[in-house]
Amino acid sequence: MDMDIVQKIEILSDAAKYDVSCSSSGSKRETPPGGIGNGAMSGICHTWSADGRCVSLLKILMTNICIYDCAYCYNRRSNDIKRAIFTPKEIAELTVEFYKRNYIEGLFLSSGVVRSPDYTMELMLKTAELLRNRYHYGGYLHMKVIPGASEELIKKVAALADRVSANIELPTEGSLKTLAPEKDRKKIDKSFMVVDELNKILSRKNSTSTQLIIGATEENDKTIITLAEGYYSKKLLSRVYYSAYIPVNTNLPVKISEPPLLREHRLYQADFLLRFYKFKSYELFNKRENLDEVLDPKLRWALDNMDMFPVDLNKADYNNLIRIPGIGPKSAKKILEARKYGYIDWVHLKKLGIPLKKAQYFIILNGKVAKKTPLELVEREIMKFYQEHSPIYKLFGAD
Amino acid sequence: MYQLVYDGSFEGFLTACHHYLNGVDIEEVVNKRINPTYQPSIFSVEILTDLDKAEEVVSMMRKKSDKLLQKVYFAYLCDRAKIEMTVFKYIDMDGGWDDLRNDVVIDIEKNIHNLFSERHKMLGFLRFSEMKDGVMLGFISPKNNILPLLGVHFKKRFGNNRWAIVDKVRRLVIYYDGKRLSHGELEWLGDIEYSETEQKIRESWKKFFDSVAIKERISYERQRGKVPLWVRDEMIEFH
Ligand code: SF4
Repeated sequence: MDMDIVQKIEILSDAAKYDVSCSSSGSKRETPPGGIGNGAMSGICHTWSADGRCVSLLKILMTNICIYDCAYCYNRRSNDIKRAIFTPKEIAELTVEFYKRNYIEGLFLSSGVVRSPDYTMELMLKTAELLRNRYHYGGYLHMKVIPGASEELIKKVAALADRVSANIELPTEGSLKTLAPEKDRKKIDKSFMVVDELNKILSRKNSTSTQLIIGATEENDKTIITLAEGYYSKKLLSRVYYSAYIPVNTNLPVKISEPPLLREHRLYQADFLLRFYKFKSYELFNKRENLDEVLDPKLRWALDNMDMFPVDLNKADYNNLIRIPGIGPKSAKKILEARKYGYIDWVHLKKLGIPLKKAQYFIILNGKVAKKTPLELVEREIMKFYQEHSPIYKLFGAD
Repeated sequence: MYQLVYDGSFEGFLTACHHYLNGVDIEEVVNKRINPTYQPSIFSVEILTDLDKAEEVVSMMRKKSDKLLQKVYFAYLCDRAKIEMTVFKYIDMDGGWDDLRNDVVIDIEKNIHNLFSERHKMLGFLRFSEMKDGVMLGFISPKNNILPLLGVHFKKRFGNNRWAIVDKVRRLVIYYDGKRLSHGELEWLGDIEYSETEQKIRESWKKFFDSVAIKERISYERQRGKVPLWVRDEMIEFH
């Protein structure tokens, strides 16, 4: 009956891979005395999987046994698949052995719901306790909380973890009801609040994250981004991950036109603009329901607001610099740094390595603009888009 | 017009700089450690590392600016970049080491950026194996000389555990014995005997690595962009 550990890894990492919330950055902890492992502030990728994703955590399920039957999920109880379950000790040992070989930054433990939310949460808690208390493991630990588990268990898990998450999964309560009837948005929100409360007591920054499945239901981008904005502004979540739906079950086709990955990409760009560029969601949509497919959201915003351009690079402050298409925080900082030594001119921008491809249409330097209108840029972006995404272009190419 | 050849050490590098500052007409500087097979010409001079000369350059830099020495050390570690002459000019400047409008400064900054980005990647790509005696051993073959920049990270991370990292290209090694970090040159490496569990853990890791990829989205091209073939030698998941 005893399943080999390698076999379990195969089943339970295969089942966990669709969860994308895997960044390990932003936690800072010293190595415990007599133990192993700390938290690194800037995320470290230990390898990249064949689909081109950064692997930094041992991302695995406690079990793929589940009493629920969510329509979009491979592990749902009505699917006839191989099931396996780890013991807390097996996961703890695997984590430590991987960690000391520098394969991973830490563990990301999720789980199907076995028996009950409480039972599952307890298994996961045991794993965290073993790691922290028996192995004195100080590495990164991300735990899924199981909505519906008792407050006390959730708090215990959150106290030992660097980060917890619970997936909202679907952008509206309505679609959650249809596709995941056993799940309840209120319970999910409740777990965010429990964790938030704990973090306040421990005076820790809230680092809770969540995942939204994109394209299994019909919500538009505006609904999705506004939802994320709400959680960000209440500080209940630090990060929302968007995951283009992969139809693992035949009963649930993708609702949104291809290519779903592009949509995912645009949502991430918009989310970035919310979190790091101080954009508001209404600025990004400007009466539209969805993000522009062809133009990235920042360029689209700039075109909607041409009266704010051109921006004078010798005068603009940081917040205005980063709103220029093609200029991010890095370039903005370089510009401010170089300005300390006097006025900068076009030649300096080149030397500083500031990419001008987009920016040149939106800036003015010592009274000179490089391009009067961004039309050429828009044309180029459109061409680029069709070359990348149109099947005709893919077949015949263009010159 | 001389070709100065130094031993590859920081002191050797500073000795070469001393010659430069004293007006020796240098065409090229060669680091012998990474070019063991260089062909000397009649203009080549193998210089002897001279600690006094090195010390002299160091105290001169200290007088100029607090941060100069560190910058120069980092630039020295970019040993594949052939920027020795640029660094000498940089040392010879009288201020403006932050002025990003100056070509010399930009060249140095770019290379240091490169150095740290390679270091950052290696913090992830480095693989340790467990030896029979419990020491964790890892090998690297980096483009820049990043080994001196790796020690602190792993020292902090691995607590009292013992570990060593070997730079196969430069034949340098750092070793942590659980208390202290030591640097040295690799003289000899005996047969490697792995611990009993090593094989099983590697197998587990490979299985994990293979099964996390989403089959519908395989893109070896993207993977190659992130993990170039030349860094995969020691990464067991690729073998
Ligand atoms: S509860 Fe989680 S594991 Fe279970 S069916 Fe739903 S999504 Fe899948």
